[in-house]
Amino acid sequence: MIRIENLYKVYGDREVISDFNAVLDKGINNLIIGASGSGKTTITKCVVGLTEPTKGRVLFDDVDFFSLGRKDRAEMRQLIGFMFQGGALFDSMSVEENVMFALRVFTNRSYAEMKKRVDFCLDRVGLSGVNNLMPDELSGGMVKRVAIARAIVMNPSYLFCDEPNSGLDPQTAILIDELISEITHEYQITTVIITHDMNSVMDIGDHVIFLHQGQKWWEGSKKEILDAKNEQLREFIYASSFMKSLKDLQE
Amino acid sequence: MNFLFHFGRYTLFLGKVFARPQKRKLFWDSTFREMVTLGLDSLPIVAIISVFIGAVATIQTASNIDSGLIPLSTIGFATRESMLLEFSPTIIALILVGKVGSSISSELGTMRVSEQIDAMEIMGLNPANFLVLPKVIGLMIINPFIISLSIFLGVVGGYLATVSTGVITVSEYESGITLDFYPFDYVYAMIKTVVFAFIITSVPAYFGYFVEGGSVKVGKASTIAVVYSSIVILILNYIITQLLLL
Repeated sequence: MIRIENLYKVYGDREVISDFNAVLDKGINNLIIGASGSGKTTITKCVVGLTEPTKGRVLFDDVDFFSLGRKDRAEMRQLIGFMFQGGALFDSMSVEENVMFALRVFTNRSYAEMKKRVDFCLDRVGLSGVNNLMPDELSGGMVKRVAIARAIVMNPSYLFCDEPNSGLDPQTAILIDELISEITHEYQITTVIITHDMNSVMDIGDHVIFLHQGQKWWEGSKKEILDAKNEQLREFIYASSFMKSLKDLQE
Repeated sequence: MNFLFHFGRYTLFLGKVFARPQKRKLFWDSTFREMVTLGLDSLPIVAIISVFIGAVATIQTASNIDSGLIPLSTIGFATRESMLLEFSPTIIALILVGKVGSSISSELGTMRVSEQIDAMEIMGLNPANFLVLPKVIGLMIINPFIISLSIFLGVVGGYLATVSTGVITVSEYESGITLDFYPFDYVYAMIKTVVFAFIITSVPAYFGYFVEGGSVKVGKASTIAVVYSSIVILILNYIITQLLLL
């Protein structure tokens, strides 16, 4: 479980995140949604310590991340898997080397053991047999899958996915969403997904937080979101013609 | 203020770079790889430049000696000293900044803008240490060999010029290159070589590591890295020379 308390992030005189509070439970898909520039990525970067928050606390299962020293933070980060929007695969390494990277750096396993784990993770994301391909030989969907495999290779307790299905066709986007959801439920991971894709929300949104101008404006589940009264949220949800038609149909 | 900001951040960056590597074996593997990439792959260009500069230095010195009072062996002596004291350690360093430094800056800059460095940091790794230390140590180890070879090839270039143009006899050239050799001159050259290897790798790494923005910024960082590294090398060249030779 991740508990975020009174999180603020200020750049110069601009308050990007303002008094953000949330409890993100394990074993469910926690989605942070909002329009571009609403502060979704900033919150994630603050939570994992890529950016130091101006104020506030982030507790990973009651451990206050920002009260930890550098060494302890590094150890804590080994429990975190992160899937970047663009995949952030190491372009000088093959798929296998990418997925194996954390195992090579942080464990003393033999090559055979590491290979077994890598093959398992690649198989889990539906990418068996691509070990020797380089990142520039992969399609967008494959990059995302390799990024997921790399994120889960160390058996993380926490998984962060930044716009996991951006730039993908609708079918592949659904597959990626379902894959993340399966992994979350199967391994009881605390998963945080940053997205602005309403399909993802309706598909896997166990717990949804709507962010507007750096503040939490609404919180609930995918079942509740269509009935939400919050004006900003409704504008966000029904921005696409598809959702508008759905709304018209409902009415 | 800008200088102080960069100097302060560069110092803190070096603190991260010179941390204990996460895994010793991985560190040495990377270091040997960098010795090949940064050092041995630069050998062809260094060799070509050194031979031709040695040859040109010999012909120019010969063409400028018109007094019968100066022994012709001075030509070989001048070629050796210019290669040993200045050309090989300093000018080759400036050439390596252009080749190696810009490549380091672009590599790290691209890794930064494509979030590869962030990915390493989130895994709990110290990316500055993992990515930069092998480059710094690798070049500091291999550069003395490259520069020694450059000195040798420069002298060989002078010899080839002597043979092909006949400006002086081979025996006069040989006598010149063995004249008044002080081993400390070589030590001085090697000290400069190691210091410059540190600058060639660490300064461009700093500019690449802290790139913000996209590909245009990566290109700009690479250019700035070459300019700053060259200036730092020239200033340090002066300081080291004054400290060691006066």
